[in-house]
Formats: sequence, C-alpha cells, structure tokens
Amino acid sequence: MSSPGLQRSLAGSLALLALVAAPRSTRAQDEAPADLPPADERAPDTPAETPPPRPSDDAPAESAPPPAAPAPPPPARTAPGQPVRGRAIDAATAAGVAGARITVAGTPAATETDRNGRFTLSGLPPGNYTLEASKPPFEPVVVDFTVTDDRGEPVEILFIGDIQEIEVRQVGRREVPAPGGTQLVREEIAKVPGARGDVLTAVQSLPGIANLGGIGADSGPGLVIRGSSPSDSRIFVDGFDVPILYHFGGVQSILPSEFIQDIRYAPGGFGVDHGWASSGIVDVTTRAPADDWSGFAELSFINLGAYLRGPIGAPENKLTFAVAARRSIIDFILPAVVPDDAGLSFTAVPRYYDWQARIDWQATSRWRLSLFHFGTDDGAEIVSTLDNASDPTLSGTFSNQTFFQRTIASAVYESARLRSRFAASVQTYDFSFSISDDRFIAFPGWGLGVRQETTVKAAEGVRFHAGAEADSNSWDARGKLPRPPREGDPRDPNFTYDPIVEFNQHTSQANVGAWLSGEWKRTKYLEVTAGARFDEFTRVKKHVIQPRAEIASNLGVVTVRAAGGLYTRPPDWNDEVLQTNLGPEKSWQTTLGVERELAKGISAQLTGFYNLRSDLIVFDSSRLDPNNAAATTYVNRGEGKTYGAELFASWRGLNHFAWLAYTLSRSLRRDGPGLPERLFDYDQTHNLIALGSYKFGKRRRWQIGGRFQYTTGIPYTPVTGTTFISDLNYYRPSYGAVNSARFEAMHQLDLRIDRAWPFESWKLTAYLDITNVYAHTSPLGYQYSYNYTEREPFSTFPFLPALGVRGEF
Amino acid sequence: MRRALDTAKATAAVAATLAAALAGGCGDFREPYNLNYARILAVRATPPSIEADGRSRIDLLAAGADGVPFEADPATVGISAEAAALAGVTLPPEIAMLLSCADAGAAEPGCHAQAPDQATLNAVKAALGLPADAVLTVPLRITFPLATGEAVADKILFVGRAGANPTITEVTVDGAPLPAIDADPLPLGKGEHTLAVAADGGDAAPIYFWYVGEGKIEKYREPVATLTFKTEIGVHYLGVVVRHDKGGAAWRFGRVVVE
Repeated sequence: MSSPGLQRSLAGSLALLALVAAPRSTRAQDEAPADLPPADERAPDTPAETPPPRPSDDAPAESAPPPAAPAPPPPARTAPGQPVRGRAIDAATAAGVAGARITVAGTPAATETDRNGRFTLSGLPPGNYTLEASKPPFEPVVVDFTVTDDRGEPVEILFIGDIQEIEVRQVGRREVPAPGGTQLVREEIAKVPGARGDVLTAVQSLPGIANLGGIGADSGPGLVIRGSSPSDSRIFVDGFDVPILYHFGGVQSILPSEFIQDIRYAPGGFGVDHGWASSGIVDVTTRAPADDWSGFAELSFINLGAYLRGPIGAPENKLTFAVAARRSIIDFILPAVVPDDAGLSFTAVPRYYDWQARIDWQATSRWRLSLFHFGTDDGAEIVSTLDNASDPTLSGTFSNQTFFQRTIASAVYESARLRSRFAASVQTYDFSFSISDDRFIAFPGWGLGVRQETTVKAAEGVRFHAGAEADSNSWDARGKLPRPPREGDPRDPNFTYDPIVEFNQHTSQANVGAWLSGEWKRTKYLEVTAGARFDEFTRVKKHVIQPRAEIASNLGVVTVRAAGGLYTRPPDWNDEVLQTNLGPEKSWQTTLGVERELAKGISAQLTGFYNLRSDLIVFDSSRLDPNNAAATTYVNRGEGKTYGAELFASWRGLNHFAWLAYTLSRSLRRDGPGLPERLFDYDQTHNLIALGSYKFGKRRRWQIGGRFQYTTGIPYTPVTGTTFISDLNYYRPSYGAVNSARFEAMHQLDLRIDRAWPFESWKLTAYLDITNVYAHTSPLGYQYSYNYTEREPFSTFPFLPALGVRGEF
Repeated sequence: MRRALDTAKATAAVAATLAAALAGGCGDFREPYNLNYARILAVRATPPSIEADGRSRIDLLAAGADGVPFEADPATVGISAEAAALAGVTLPPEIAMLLSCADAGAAEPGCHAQAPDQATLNAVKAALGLPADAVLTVPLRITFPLATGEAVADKILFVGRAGANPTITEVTVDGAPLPAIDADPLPLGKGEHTLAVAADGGDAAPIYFWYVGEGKIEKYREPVATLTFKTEIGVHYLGVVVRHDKGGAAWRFGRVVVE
C-alpha cells in the first residue's frame, strides 16, 4: 500500500483521541496533574510483571508483543482492577475511529476499537499505564491512565457520552499521501452533498480533479487528474487496480461506503509503492469488519441495499465477517419516464448489481488475515427505432454488459520494527458492448495479481520500504468497431462509414514492478524519502526505472513539502493494447506545497505542480492500412505539459466540516515534433468547489450541507464545414484547430439534508440529496444534425433528487 | 488490459441517444428527408464505372430552399485530395488530367471524366501497387453554388471496369404510380401513405433514400416507407434516390398534393 514515508502530516488538522469526563485517576499525557509524574519518570510503585491476558466479553485482551511506544516500567502482578473503557474519535468530525489498535505499554493487553470507536481492556492490575492508540493514517497518540481497584463504576478513561461533551486532549495529525494529496474521512465525505452518500463519488470534490459535468465522478472516461487523460491515472482497491469504479453514468461507485476505511488521493508526486500510472492515484483501503453485530437495509432513489457484519463464533475466535449487496432500481423508474414517442424500448432495462463479502481473522497479535471479494454486474439492452441518417448502424439494439469480480486475500504481519503485507488476487471479467448485429466488442478474461510490501524500522526515524507486485491478465479480444477516438481527436466515430477495426485474438499481458525507498525523519525540520521503482511491461518488452523523492520541512507555522520523480504507464488503454511495439508513456512530475494550520480546526495547503509528459501514444494517420485497420497506427511521439496550483482549505469542528478546493491549471499537448501545441481535451482553467455541512438540533440529529462548484468549460473543436460524400449519402465534417473553442462555464449547487431517529436498539436515518438544485444546465458537447449545419448542446444533468431511508442496528 | 471496453464516444453516443429520448426527442433539427432547405442530394456519374478510354458525365441532384429538387452540372470537378488522403492513397498526377467541365454552349456541355488509355491506366495501377485487373477508385470533388454558399461533395468514379447506374422501375404511393415531375400532382389525403420503390441495380445491392418537401417519412432508408401528412396542405415534391455500392445513383421525383 502506501509509502509511510510519503504519508506526512497535515498540520494539526485532526485529532485522533478525545478525552472527556476523566475520572479522578485518569489523565491525558499532556495534561497530567502535578501529582502524577510523566510516564518516563513514573513507576516505582507500579507492578513489575505482566499479568496474563483475561479477555472480556466485548473486547478481549490478547497476548501481544511489546508496543512500540516507550514504556514505563510494567505494573506488578496483582488482582485485576476495573475494566478500562474508552473511545477513539476523530476530533475533527467527532466520529468514532473504528479499527484503531489499542495497546498498553509493558503489558500484553491489546485490542481494537469497534465501529463506534469504543474499546474495553480488562485484566489490568491497578497501577499507572501508558496507552497507545494507532490507526494509520493518524499519527499514534499516547495517553497515560490509572487503573484502580475500587469497586463500583468502571474507570472511564476515554469516553464520549454526548457529542457536545467532547474535549480534545490529544491532537493527532492526519497524514497525507503526497504534496497536494488528501486523506479522506469516510464519515465526513459520505455526507458531501451531491455525492448521494457515495464516498468515491465525493472524490470529485477534491482539487486537481476536472469536472466533466456528469452525474458522478466519471460518467464515462474516468478521472481526469491534473490535466491528464483518464488512462494516466489508476484507482486501487487494497493495492490492486480496478478496471471500473462506477456504475452506469457514474451514478454510484461499485463499493458501498461501509466497506471503505480510507481513501488516499494523490494527484501526483506519490511514492514508489504505486506504479503503472503517469498521473494521479486514488487508493482505497477497505474496512475490516468489527466484532459486533451491525447491519442496515437501505432504499433510495438509486438502489436497494443491505449490509450485515459481525463475529463468527465466539469473540475469542477473533473472526469477523461483513457482507453486502445492492441492486439498482432505475429499471423500475426508467420505463415510466421515457416518453412513448421517444422511439426507444427496453428489452433489458439498465440495471446493476454489486456485492461484497469480507472475512477477517486476527490470528495472533501480529498476524491478521483477510479475504475480500467484490464484484459488479451491469447490463442494459435498448432497442431504438429512430433512424440515424448520418450513421444508420447507430440504431437498432444497443447492448452493454459489464461484469467484474475480484477476490483479494491478504496477510499482514505487524510488529514494532516490521510491517509486512502479502496479498494475492484473482479477478474475472466479461465486458461486452454491441450496436446492431454487426458492431461489437467483447473482452472476457481473467487475471492474477500478487503484491508484497514491507516496511522495516532500522532506527528511530529511519525506515525502509520495499515491495514488489505483479499483475497478469489473459483475455479473448473480439471486436468489430471503428477505431475509438483518442485524446485530441475531435471526430465522432461513425459505425457505418468509418474503417472498421476487426479482431478476434487471445491476448495476455503482465506487468511486474518492484520498489525500494528509504525514509529519514530524524528531525522535524527535515524529512526525506527517496527511492526508485522498476517496472517491466512484458507484453511490449519494455522496462523503466523511476526515481522519486520527497522532502518535507517543518518550519514551525508552515510545513513545506516538495516531491518529484518519474511516473509511467504501460500501453494498455483501449485498442492500443493490440499493439506490441509501443513503449510506456512518461511523466516527470514536480510538486511543491505549503501546509499551514491557520487556526484550530482550520488548515490550508497550497500546492504548485509542473508535469512534463513525453512518449504519449498518438494516432498516426500515415500508418493507417486500409486493409488492416488494426495495424500499428499508434506511436509514442506525443508530448505535453501541465502546470498549475491547487488550494485546499478545510475547517473542521465537532458539528461541522467545510472545505474549499480550487484548482488553477493549464494542460497542453503536442501530437508530434513540429506539430502545433494545443489544449488538452479536458483542460479546465478554473475549478472551484466550496462545500460545508452542519449538524444541529437535539442531539445533532439533523445535518444539512451544501456544495457549490464553478468550473471553466472544457475545450472543443469547432466544425467549420462539411463535405457531402455522395455515394454514402453521408456528410463528413471538417474541423478547425483542435480544442480552439470552449464551452461555457459550468456551475451548480447541491444540497443534502440528513435526519436520524434513534430507537432503543436500532436507528432510522433518512436523507435527501439534491444535485443541481437550481437546474442550471451547462453544455458538455454538441449534437449535430446529419449534415452538420445545425447543432444543439447536450448538457449536464439538470436536476437529480435522491431520497433515501436506512434502518440500521 | 484496461478500459478495453471504453469506446468512450460510442458509449457517449448511446447515452446521448438515451438522454435525448428522455428529453423527448433527438434534437430539433431539420429532417434529412425534407426537401425544404438547400443542399446537394446526390452526385451521379453516368456511367459510374468506366473502362480504359471510357467517358463519364458528372451531374448532380440538389434542392433549393423552396423544396424543389433540380438537376444541375457541377461548377467544378477535381480530384479530392482529402478523400485520397483519408484512403491512404496518393494518386498520380495523370488522373487529374482526365477531368473537364464545359459550358452549356460547348459541343459537349457539362462535366466529364475521361479514363486514360490502357497503358496509362496500367502504369497508374502499377504506381499504386495495384494488380493489373484492379478497379481504380478515383475520388472526385465537385463544387456547386447554393443560396447558402458553395456546397462541396465527393464522389467515387470507378475506372477499369464497366458499370451502370441502377434503374428505377417503379415508384408508387399507396399502390398508385408516382406521376412524372411535370405531370399533375397525385392527390393524397392527410394521414399515412405507403411509399414503395422497385429498382434494378444489377449485381449491386441498392440503397434507398426517400425525400418529400414537407411531411414525415418513417423508414426513409427502406424501399417501403411510410409518409405521413398532418397539416401540410398543398403541393409537395416527393421522390427517391437509389444508389448502389458500385457508385451508381438514380432518382425519380414527382409531385403530390395534399388536400
């Protein structure tokens, strides 16, 4: 997964642990009373031996190795004192932090927080202790506490009775994956207006991601990060690339929020542990199920879903599971809203399923095993009776099927000096798309992947990271379609009159990567991470070594971070994968960022970037063979550069969060030496997002939020004339300079309101999420008449309300 | 393999079709089968395919903004460098010398294409790397002035083999023959009418396209189509263009009156 060396802290923005209502003998380390000595000076009166673990019913202690934190002398063996209960919370959001590792220095006592961030430690004899809570990406937090032998109420050292009573005592800093990157809080981003509760859709509210105007983050081509093609970025789930992330039109991602623990978004400058991407990455870490029973059923405008998780067997088995499934309901709605005279009928209405299942086993205190399976099945079949004069084939039956499933098995070993994760994955997929009876593409296949990552702590502040990964795919490629347009290609493919690329072949591809980096953090004034990554792209028989480095300096009020290096992606996008004589696309990235905490809960980061691209894969019409449209028509001769700045300011409190994301960018391309420089297809000069959410009412059961976005319209290539191709009765357009015009700016406001009704054993929640409240539509492209003398814009979705209700326990 | 399925704009086209349907239609555009706006409807080479030393006349069918179709000679005829480039073919200069246009007062008015002699044709084929028995496809570009500006059209002329335009044997409306264009218009009522055309294209498959001044035609690319008049009272030109995949073109137009 991520390189810890690149997971620097975002200056004091968030807190991990909160302490309230501290009992008479409980203190946080930074507020220890005068009569309680610091941990490293304490303990002549504390026990000298470690008691055997004594699991409790709800949070068993276990045999554990010595914790990493400096430990006070261990307590002497004596009768167990009261259970210690607590809660880890993210003070920025007041949400409990699930899965935080809780250890007690000098004892084997250890546990993990449940889904609400709560934990219980039993069996500790009376005495003074030091507790360490760790949960990447938060920095570890150390808290001193005292266990007494009083009868009566248990000692509550970390407790949140009501959200209003939170008192922050320890502030842990959230680590960010790269300069300009962001670590997202799941509970927070799930409430981003316009995202319909989908955390992966909310990603598009971050700086650096272009607004393509679709319903979701993607709506087709994929994420456009820092002026790069969708092909240049990758989305990883637990370290493995996923070919699709969103259901039809980007309405919803294929992973429900409940299965997501963290999302690391790095628009560039990320570490050597991720490869095969020449732009940015979105790295999703899935969530281990907690050991208490929980579940929900949900019905929304988008879909119907259910989720269940809990322990398998007795709690001491430390075996937990989670399962979920969703089904869209648009197939119930769409036929009712399509006009009778639209000329469309649905033989298989657009619908999707997705499913997830995960089992985790904490085999020992150091070993954790997990098995995660997820998949999606999207399908639609539409019959159009509309005639299409300019492309007669583009009528009749449209069919689209997307099936994908992946299973990831992983084993994690974690000790004070060593962290190692091995994961193996298998995936199967079947993508098919057809228009009429004679234009189609199908890619059924399967793949295997393995990934090993190891971090060794060599000395205090010195760590080394090493890893390797391999990804192999084997598929049958069958197709009969016009060549898909590439970036910078203004034409629309004509399924009737364009040269047809026809192929039917078995293809395989394997990418192998390995990396090594060192991290030096001996002083807060200077932190250095440097390493290199080696990638071998076996299908094209090319390899590349990519040096990367990051330097961070904490100058007191500000932290300055710089990163740079070489990033590449293999030629595996669309039909370029049919060629074996292409090399990887390359990008030299440089990033310089400044982070500052402006006030308590308010932080800002300003990042500048400059990416220089080379060996971009472009279409060479001079190599087109009319008798072999799949011939080697692509070459590595494109160039490009993107530069700009990003501002990300956030304001987080107990009852609110807000952020401002602004991107100023310019992205240029040159399709070959000597050719004119032009704008990139999705160049977007300005992208401003302001959003906020606020909890209010009794026990904060209401939450309301809004999101506003303004973006420069993307470029387009104007049609300047047409030629009538008489034999085909078809008009071929002539184009002006590529991307020499722009669509008008896009702007929209989204609103979301949540309400919770807690009952004794379950909770009912409801939300209304309205995308584009004032129904402003912005053109995303033009639809032309058959002879190109008339045009009409096709626009952003005008108004999308999503109402959902959920019952959970 | 990533995104191998992502024929992005194809998917977008499908999505746009769906979105347009949801919005209630596919754009408020002029219909391709209506005659009431100016454009070239077809370019004809007679014959469309010629042997060495053969000669072909080039003319066209156009429509004015008044919905009246008419035949005309092109203003210019040349080689379409753009079409040749798109086809990946570099044509020898000799081909360009085969084309000529003459005024109406000339001995042979109109535009013509003259095939080279057999030796030259063989040399051209050799230069293009084609076998001796290959048929040369010569992309012609014609221009014609319309009220809306100069129209440009491309037409393939086949050289190296003889061929003929299709023959339209019958055009009917509700089973009644469509009268000649200068004859009295065929009276029709409001509502649906069945259009049918029979054509002989030899061994080439015919391709149809119906036109009407005003009104709506469904299946306008089929030999049997449905013409609907709702409020379009008056006289309208009605006709069909028949092409085949060996460059042939023919048309027949008449008039109908909606009462």
